[in-house]
Order: sequence, then C-alpha cells, then structure tokens
Amino acid sequence: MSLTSVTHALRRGKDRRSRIEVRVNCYSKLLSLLSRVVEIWARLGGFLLLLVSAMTAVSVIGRTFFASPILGDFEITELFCAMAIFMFLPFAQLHDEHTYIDIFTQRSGVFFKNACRKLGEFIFLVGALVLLWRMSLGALDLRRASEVTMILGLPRYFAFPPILISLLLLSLVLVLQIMGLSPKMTKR
Amino acid sequence: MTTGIVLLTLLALLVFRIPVAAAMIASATLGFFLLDSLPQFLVYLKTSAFWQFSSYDLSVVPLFILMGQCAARSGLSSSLFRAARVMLGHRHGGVAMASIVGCAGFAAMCGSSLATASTMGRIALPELLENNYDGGFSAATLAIGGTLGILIPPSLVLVIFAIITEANIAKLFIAALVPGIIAMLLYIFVVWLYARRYPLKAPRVAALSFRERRAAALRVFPALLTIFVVIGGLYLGLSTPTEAAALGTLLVCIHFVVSRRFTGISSDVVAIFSDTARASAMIFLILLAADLLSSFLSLAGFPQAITRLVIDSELTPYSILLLSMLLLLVLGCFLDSLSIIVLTMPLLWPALSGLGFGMDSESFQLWFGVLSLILVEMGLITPPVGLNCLIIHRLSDGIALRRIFSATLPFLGMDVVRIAMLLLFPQIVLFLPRLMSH
Repeated sequence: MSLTSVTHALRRGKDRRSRIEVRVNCYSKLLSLLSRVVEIWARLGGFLLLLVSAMTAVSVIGRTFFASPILGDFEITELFCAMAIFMFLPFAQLHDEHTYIDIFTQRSGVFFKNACRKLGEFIFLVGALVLLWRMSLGALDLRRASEVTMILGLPRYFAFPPILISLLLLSLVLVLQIMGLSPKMTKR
Repeated sequence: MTTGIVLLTLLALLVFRIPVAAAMIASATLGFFLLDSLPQFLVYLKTSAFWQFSSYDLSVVPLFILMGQCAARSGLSSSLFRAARVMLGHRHGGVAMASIVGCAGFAAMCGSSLATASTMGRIALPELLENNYDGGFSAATLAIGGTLGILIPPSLVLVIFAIITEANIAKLFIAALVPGIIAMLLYIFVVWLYARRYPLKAPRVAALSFRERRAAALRVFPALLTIFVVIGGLYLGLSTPTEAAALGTLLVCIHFVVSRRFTGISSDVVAIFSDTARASAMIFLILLAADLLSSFLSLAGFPQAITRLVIDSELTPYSILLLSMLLLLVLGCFLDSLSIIVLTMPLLWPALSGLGFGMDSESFQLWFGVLSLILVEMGLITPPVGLNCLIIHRLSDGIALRRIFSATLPFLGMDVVRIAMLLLFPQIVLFLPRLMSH
C-alpha cells in the first residue's frame, strides 16, 4: 500500500468521524434546545395551575364571606387543568418519569434492558402520534359542534392548541430518546 | 379468551419493565383490535383524553400536588417536625416519635406517601442520626411515617378510588382521617416499646428551655392553620376538595413569602413547578392508560364476568373480601399504589359492592376504600420493592436496605392490628363521615 493511499484512507476515516461528530453535535444541540422548550412549556403549565388555584381560592372566599363567587370558576378550572396536565407530559417524559416493575429485570444485561426501554418508548411514541392525529380531529369536531361550557360559554376547543402542541413536543422528545440520546440532567 | 390474551400481554409487558402506562395502552389497543373494534377505539380517542383530563373531580390531583410541593419548600414541613421534637424530644425515642408526628402533620398537606417520606426524611433523618438513634430503626420510622401521607387526607390515591367507584371524595377523606390518626398512635407506641427495650438505640435528648418551646410552638401555627382550613373546610362542607387544595396552596404561598424563605423565582418556583409537573404527568398518564384498558375490559364484559364468578363461587362475603384484600397485598409487592387501584378497582368494586356487609352501599364504599388503601400502602414498606424504604435508603447514604426492612417489621405488625380493628369495627371508619352535615 502506497503512502498516498494510506493518507487517503486516514483522511477518509477522519472525514467520516468528523461527519459523525457533526451529526451528534447537531442532535445534542437539537436536544438541548428541545429540553429547554419543554422545560419552559411545563413551567407555563405550572403557572396555569397556580392561576387556577388563586382564582379558586378567591372564589371560595368570595362565596363564603361575601356571597359572591367567581362565575363559572369550575369551568375555568377544568379547562386550565386539562391544558396544564398535557403541558406537563413532555417534561415528565424527558425525565423518564414512569412507574415500572423492575425486580424481574434487575439482573438482566444492558442490551436487554435497553431493548425493553426502547420498546416502552416506542409504545408511547405511537400512542402520542395517534393521539395527536385523533385529537386534532376531535378539536375540529368540537369546533363544528360549537361545544361551549355551560355558564361562561367558553368554546371548549380553546384548550386544544396547547394540548396538541404538547403532544407534538412529547413525540419529538420520544423520537430523540429512541434514537438513543438521553438529555444531560444537570438541572431539575 | 380475548380478555385472557390481553391480560397476559399486560403481564408480560409489565414483567419486561415496560412502564405501567405503556403496558396498559399497548394491551388495550391489542384488545380493541382482537374485538374488531379499532374504528370505535379511534373515535373514542378523539376526545376521551380531553374529557378525562378536564374533569372537575380530577383537577384536585394537580392542585394537591402543587400544594404539597409548596408546603415542602416553604418550611412548613420542618416547622411541624421541630415543634413535635421540642415537645417529645426529652423522652426516650422522642425524636423518632416526633418524626412520626411530623410525617402525620405533613401528610395533612400532601397527598402522596413518597413525597411525605422524602420530605420528612430529608428533615428528620440527619437529626435522628445526629442524636445517636439506630440507623435502621430511624430509616424504618421515616419510611413507615411516609405511609401516613396517603391515608391522612388529602390523599391522591383516595381521589382516584373515589372517581373509579363514584364515591364522595370529601367523605372518603374524612373517613380516612381516624384510621390515619390511629396509625400514627400505633407507630408511636412501637417507638415507645423499642425505646424501652433498647434505650441506647433511641436515646433521650436534653430538654429545651421554655422559651425555645414557645418559639417552636409559634412557628408551627401557620402549618396548623393550613391543615385546619383544608380538613375543616372539607368536613364542614364549606369547600369542595379542589377548593380546599386551592385555599391550602394560597395559605402556603402566603407563608412562603411572609416567612422570607422564598429565595426567588429562579430557584423555588422553578423547582416547585418542575416537581409538580413530573408528579402530575405521571399520575395522569397512568389514568389515561387505565381508562383505555378499562373501556376495553367493559366492552369485553369482563367486570360482569368477575361479578358472576364471585356470585357463583358461593363463598361468604367475608371470605371474598379477605381474598380481595390478599390480592391487593400481593400486588403491593410489585406495583405502586396508584397502579394497583386503577388496575383492580374497576373489576373488584362491581363484584364487591353487591355483596352487602350489613351496611348501606356508601358505608361499604368508605370502609372498603380505607381498607384497600392501608393494604396497598403496606407494599411500600415490604420487600421486594418497598419504595418508601428505598427512598430513605437513598437519602441516608450507608444504611443497608436489609436493616431498614427488618426494622419495619414491628410497624407492619401494627398495620395488621389496625386492619383487624377496622375489619371488626367498621364504625372506626364510618362515624366521622356520618356526622358530616351533607
């Protein structure tokens, strides 16, 4: 083998390595961006929850002491809580916040454990995508039926855009996790 | 047949460490496929999750989680422990007794056992070890104290039980109160016995001055006020459970800001929101999955089949009750309490509710709910999983899990005593809800 072909081969190898590096770098950037977005999204959900609880507290105090509750507070609670919970889902998935039974698989190998984890994530991914598809149609249905809440007359499909965005984020998180990229959990 | 395949799939997936929610979703989908009902399933998916998550009854879950997280970080939890410690610390075993009282107090602001165990563990365990309490015993005390979290209202698992069996959440909360207090007293009794038997492993601590006692008593006042507003409002029917949670959160937040423990948006609020997000999402994912699975099971007529089986078995009501309790106890060894309740109650409740134990159906509901809760809680402190023990073990660095498990045995004995008491005298559960005005 001549010297030139060796250097060629070396360079090719280096090229490939650097290309892989670039790709990994790109994914990890994507992932850190996504985890940032998901984090902020979940905090927004938390803020919604705090709003709900402040409003409900004011309403109870108003009802008990001044006989003037906030009108339709139940409905706002329902809609906001539903939004908040969906907004929490991608964040919880990012932190792999699930319950499972692990006493049977404790002694099994890394490869097997990994495969099981991937299967779980795959099930969630399919579930999230199907739900995204079905709930988009559901939102259209509710809009067409002009479904509104009883007292305030809030259209119920108002809750759907954040819900659908949450499902999309959840799917993205799952895709990256299935690709074997787990986020660096430095900050909770 | 179809149901058998689906349940086997569920079991297989669970054994292979697939998350409970994923396992339920996959097996439910398989079930609908086998019944040729995939189109109906897809239609159902359009809005079922939305209706489920936007149900008013369920909104109590994230709100109570939020309240518990705020309480844990606002210093209310440590004020409860400190107050109990200055009152009891000069006795043998006093600091351990104080940990149990602290857990019980915190349990009245928090609906989950794991959160109670980890919050109080962080506060009380260093203090116990510093005062030369035996490591295994200290850890076991906190693990067992954590189980009060789910029994003393608010309780998230009880909310889920109430929704599945269509019970009155407020009444269930009040029904669980007295058994919760009995549990606390029995655990304190165990500590007392232990301290008498091994005084060196549970030493007394120097008594504090009157001034220090008074300061601790004053500091615990906001915590007591919060507990009073939450439980009192429920008992008097002034607030729904959701409203009680909202009021509690408001009070805790006010205390948080006033007591100047609040270190700013960046750290506290973010941590509270993140922890609330993770805990609520986990619960709702399981609920969503369980809803899919149970709609498959009812489509397949499985609950009716179980009910028929129970009726045809010609066993006495009490033996059926004992069998179901045994089932819950065994499942508790492998699964967490929420998953057990969502998996078993849609099947057990229709079968059991018709049996009649010499009481009306609402009373039976309260009684059975509290009993099931105690049983699934025992799984939290028994091997092989024993999540509460695991949490304390991780907090402790160095106390062997085996030592913690063996030290929980006397407490478990008290749980058995308590279950026997409740079985023999259902009035313990029922008298307080009956006194409620509504």
